[in-house]
Amino acid sequence: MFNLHERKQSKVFNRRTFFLLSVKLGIFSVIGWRFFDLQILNSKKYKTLSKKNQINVAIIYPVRGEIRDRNNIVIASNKKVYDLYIIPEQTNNLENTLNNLNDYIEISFKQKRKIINLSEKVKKFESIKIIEDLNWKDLEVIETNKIHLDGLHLEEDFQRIYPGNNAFSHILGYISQPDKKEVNLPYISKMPKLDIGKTGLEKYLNEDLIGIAGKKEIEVNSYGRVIREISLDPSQKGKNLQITIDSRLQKFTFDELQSHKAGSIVVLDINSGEILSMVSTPSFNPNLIIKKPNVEYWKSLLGNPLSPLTFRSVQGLYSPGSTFKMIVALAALKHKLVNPKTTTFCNGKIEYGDRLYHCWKTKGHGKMNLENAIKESCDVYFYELSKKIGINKMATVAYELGLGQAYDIGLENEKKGIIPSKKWKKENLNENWYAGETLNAAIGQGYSLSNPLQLAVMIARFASNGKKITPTLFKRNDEVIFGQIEYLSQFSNIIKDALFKAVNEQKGTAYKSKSNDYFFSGKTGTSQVKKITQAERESEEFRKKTIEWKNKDHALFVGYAPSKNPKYAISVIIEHGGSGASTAAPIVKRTFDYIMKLKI
Amino acid sequence: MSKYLSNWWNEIDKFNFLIIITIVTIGIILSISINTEFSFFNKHILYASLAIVIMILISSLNEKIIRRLSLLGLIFFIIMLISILFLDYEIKGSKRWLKFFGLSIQPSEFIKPFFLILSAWFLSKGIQGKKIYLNILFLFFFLVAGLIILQPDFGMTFLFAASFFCQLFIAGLSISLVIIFFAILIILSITCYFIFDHVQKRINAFFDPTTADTYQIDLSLQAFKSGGLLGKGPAHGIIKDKIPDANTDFIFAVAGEELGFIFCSLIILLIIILIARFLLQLLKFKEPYIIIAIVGLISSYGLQSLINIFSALGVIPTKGMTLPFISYGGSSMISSAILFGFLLSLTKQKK
Repeated sequence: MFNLHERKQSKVFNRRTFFLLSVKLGIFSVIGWRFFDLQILNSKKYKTLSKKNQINVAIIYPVRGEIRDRNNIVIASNKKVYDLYIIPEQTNNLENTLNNLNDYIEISFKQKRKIINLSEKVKKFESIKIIEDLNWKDLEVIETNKIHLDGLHLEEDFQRIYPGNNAFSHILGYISQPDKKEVNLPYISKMPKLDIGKTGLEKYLNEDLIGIAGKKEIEVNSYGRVIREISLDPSQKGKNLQITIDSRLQKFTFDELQSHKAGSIVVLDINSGEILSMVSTPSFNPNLIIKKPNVEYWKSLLGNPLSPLTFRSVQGLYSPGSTFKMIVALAALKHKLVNPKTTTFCNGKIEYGDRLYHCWKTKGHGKMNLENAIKESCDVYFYELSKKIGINKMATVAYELGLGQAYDIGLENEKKGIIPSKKWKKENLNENWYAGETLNAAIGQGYSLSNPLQLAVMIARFASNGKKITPTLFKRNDEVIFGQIEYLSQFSNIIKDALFKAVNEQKGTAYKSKSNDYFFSGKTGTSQVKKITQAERESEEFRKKTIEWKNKDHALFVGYAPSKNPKYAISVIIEHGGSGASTAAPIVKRTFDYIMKLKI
Repeated sequence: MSKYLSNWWNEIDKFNFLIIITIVTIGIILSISINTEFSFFNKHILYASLAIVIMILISSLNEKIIRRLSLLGLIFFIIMLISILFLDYEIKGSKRWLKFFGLSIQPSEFIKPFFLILSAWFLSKGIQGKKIYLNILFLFFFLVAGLIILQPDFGMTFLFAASFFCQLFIAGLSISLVIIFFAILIILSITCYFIFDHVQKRINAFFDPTTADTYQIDLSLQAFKSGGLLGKGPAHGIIKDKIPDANTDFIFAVAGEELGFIFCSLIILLIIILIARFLLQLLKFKEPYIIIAIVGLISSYGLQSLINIFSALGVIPTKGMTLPFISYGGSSMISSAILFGFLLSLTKQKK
């Protein structure tokens, strides 16, 4: 490892010392060159500067890109606003000027003190902001009375504005100051004060919307006072982006929800998977979040037990209820466990294990075949059918129809929901599956949970005879090719006939909501929130009783229109709305009416 | 007492001592011009005077005591390095400092001079054929380097390893091993790049300034450019208000702006003279221990200065390394004093 011969050693010492010495001298001469380059050669560029002045680089912030709907209507843009500033050294007396200003615009004593205090801390030629976003009236008053207000000036700024207010808030999100982590994002470096998207698409599209910073070199003297502008490299506005929402429909569906406390509506274009409308209530107004001070508004949002910030269409999970029955029917058809003609007799309940399983219709439906069981939503028929299929086969079909998965449409925290199966229960609850739980699952109760977007995808896949449609908020090419669920194309006519009759034939669960001008198809769902006790069930008056809101059932409807060559798929969920037939189906009808009128 | 002092004065290398005092004085001038708040400049002067006293005390010790002191120091700071890992006290993403009676101490700064003295001793034994010394030495080296890398402080690990390598090199490490060493170094740095986020960020920022936050470097270069030949005069610079860590990592940018090219060249010249003089003095010595110790200590000083200046100039990514005797910081100041105390003691003229 080392040379051990003593005489050689001292030679080695000498040689290597010289080597180290020359390496170090070499490196230091590189430094010397670099200094010469920077301080002598480079500084010639700035020779016009007086010796005591220097160049400061000011960042010019870019204007954020706009977001438009599918018809190019602006749904997120920027409003030019004027902020009022004062420069202390340009006033004769700061306090007098502020008092004069108070004659035109009210300035509280506290605010005045704050400005005066601040003026003592900053350099006297620096601008102090007095008022943000002046309204037109104040702007006019200040412009006309300029002579009395020395030292005041206006500066232009841009403020984000959302013309759709509450209707688009969950999809778009809002912008605000970046937090510590976000400041390090590569596309906002050098712009630490830039407002960036914090939720929704504003966040997802930050990189495109932000634009590119410009810069301005200014000569300042040693106190930091600006002497002149040397160069200007303007900023580049962010990209304008388009999404698939139709703002007319979005507003319409949002208004439909307003008569209810909480719920969601999703409308899809079946051919492209584009989301035409997706609303959730209660909602929030992003314009109020942006406008400072917003502390009170935040408090009201966070204090609301219905959590307005939650986007129910993708973050809300509900038992699919009877809308799950098509899945069970399809699983049975796929595995040839049912013949459309075979019938089951429903007398209102069946006994299984040591428990009674009830049909929603206490008196029973009588003889039922597959079509009528969907049309009239007979629970007993599906109890019997599920015993033959088993939970695992149902789960596979449910997944293929689009439940139990997230679509990553650009919104954070999209919930996957639950498709129960034996494996799922073992992994998540570490318990074995009980046979009776299959019966509950067959009518979409029990562990099953889906979000409204998934339910819209499910019905769109049925409507398209098994195209594996996936939803999106961004325009797709017209001829998008989806995969195909082979077995569904074989049986879809059976299920679609039943869905048609559920709306358009007497005894169908949504018959009252049928349209006379066109045909639409669909399935109602009513998902239990509170377990019904035996005693309650036995009392005849039970269903007519007024129940406390939070114990009422959720009302669901999934459907599509037109029945022939379907173009639009819809899912409606009204939390604690009562029944799908009475609450959700009429909303679907009105929405389809509106779509037909618009001809999107 | 006065006899003791005059004795000391006759023995040490007076020229080197005066250069060191000049560098410390420059540090004080910069500390005054960097911040007008009185407390700040007070502290720097306090540390500087303490450093000079410590340096004089240590340089008056004889080499045997120095070795014992180093052994104690090494053990003490290894314990501190270990305890730092378990105490929850982070500054800028890494655990480097230890709170101690209200002072924050950076043990990795202190451990260098002690380790380099002992490694010189062990190496000198090793090259006389006692292999066991070499084994113990490498064990300690990897222990200390490992502890520093766990903080994580890559700049300091690099400096530590590089100084040690200079010692191995001067001791006559065979050329093939030198090449292997460099290969390992390259592999290690690539691994660090991929494993540690903050290393990756700094290096990316260096190679592609447009995509990353090169705010500090931009300002630093701006400072040098605006300084020109003579600078703007002490306390007239502005950029120091804007560069974070201007008083430590970017002290040289402040010097460049306020004192200009000539003054910066003077600082570099002083550093070069100091290094060259210590290295040239080696020729007088025959004992391997002294030679290896001096090479290790002076290399550590030279490399640390280089790293600091290079990162302020944007030649290498910023490392968070101080400029010895000039940057603000108690740990750096005192450990530099210990280092030069050792150097002055080892180069004493014996009578």
